[in-house]
Amino acid sequence: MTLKYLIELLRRDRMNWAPVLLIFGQIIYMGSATMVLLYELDDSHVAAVTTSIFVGMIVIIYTIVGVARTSARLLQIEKQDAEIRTLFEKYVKNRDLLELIDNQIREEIGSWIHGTLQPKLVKLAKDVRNSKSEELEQIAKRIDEINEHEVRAYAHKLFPPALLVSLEVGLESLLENRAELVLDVRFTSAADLRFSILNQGCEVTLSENSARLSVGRNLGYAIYRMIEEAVANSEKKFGTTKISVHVGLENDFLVISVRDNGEPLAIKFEFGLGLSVIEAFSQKYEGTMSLHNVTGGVELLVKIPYTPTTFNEKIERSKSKDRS
Amino acid sequence: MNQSSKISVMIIENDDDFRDLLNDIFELSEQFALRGSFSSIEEFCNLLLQQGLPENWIPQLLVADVLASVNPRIESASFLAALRDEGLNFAALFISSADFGSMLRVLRKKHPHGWGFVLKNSRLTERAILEAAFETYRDFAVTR
Repeated sequence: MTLKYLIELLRRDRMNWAPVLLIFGQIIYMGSATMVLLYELDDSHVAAVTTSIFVGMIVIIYTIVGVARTSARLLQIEKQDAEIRTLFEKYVKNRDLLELIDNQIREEIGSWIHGTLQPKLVKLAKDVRNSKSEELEQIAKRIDEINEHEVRAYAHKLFPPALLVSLEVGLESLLENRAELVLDVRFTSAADLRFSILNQGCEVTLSENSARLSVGRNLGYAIYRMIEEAVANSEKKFGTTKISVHVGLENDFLVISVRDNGEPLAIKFEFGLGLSVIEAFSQKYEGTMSLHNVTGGVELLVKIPYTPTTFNEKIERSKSKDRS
Repeated sequence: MNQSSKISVMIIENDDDFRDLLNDIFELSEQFALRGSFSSIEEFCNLLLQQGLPENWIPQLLVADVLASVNPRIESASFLAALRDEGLNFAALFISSADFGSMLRVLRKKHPHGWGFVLKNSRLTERAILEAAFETYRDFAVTR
């Protein structure tokens, strides 16, 4: 092991030759001293040469051990650096992907607001000013159409309103008539969500008796998007007639499973945008994602580290953070 | 129709114009008696706290905007469901311009009766609001 590290070190950097040359020099010196001792010296010089040989041996051994340990440590650090670099590259790739998707959505919505909505509103305002009363009903219909079909659709893309109420309402709305949902009871309305009404400032907050677990708005949105993409993928597959979604807790993980009964995965398959989005979201929360064939279909499994936190604990934590 | 046979109602709506409209609708209605009107859940709760949560102070029907709280983490659906969990009895009609999907279905899992929803849009009429309010209360009253 020591020799292997030494060779590797010599191969990588010429500066590492210095200690090796020192050892070599010591060996030559000791060889010469031994030769002198054996052939030329009288008794008075024997002790001095013997001592210097002994010291030389200690220096050599010390140098060899020192170089070996240092080289082993350096190689270990290099290996760890390489692993960290790989992980960081993956993190950057996924962060960039999420940023790209986020920017694409913003761009799309921004373009729609500036390019479509604003001109339509300008025209409507102009028509209202110029119109006779019988035309106002037509104008009102156009406004309703813009509001109900277009504004609502884009507002939903920004953030689904059902998620504002709870994860349960968000997922039930997403999966209605599309998939069966089984959600851990601790995330549902079956778990208590109690409020306390504080007199100071008429503040309404959650009481410490609130048992319902919170995932937070950001993780809640990520769970929603991952399931949305997974279900959309399953629906596109040939043969899918049933999709089931489970969101539960297993030890210290939040586990999302999306199973369908469609055609199995090919031996070699490529990640499309949908799966890449799921992977990016799962890695954002330091989780893992896997896609595999199961009996009767295919399962997507996402596991995200999660410590069960009630709504009240979450609020108390953010209050302490604000105070500090 | 005398006051005692009318359905008592309170309104929680943060949009001032729409709240004024709802006030007028319920004040002029013969079926309902308007007992209070609030611009947020917090304002409603302040008065509720002052009254000490008496059963007879709570109206028979609450008409609430889903997002009528000064705190963005609080919405009226979960709050009113929590009041029902505490044993307070009332029907609740939610009004919002956003579509909350399966919200009523989730609320009905624990309390099957007395929830209604009306989508706020330009075609919403006084009659539609009153009909929805009456139907929501009637659904709740069956259980009493």
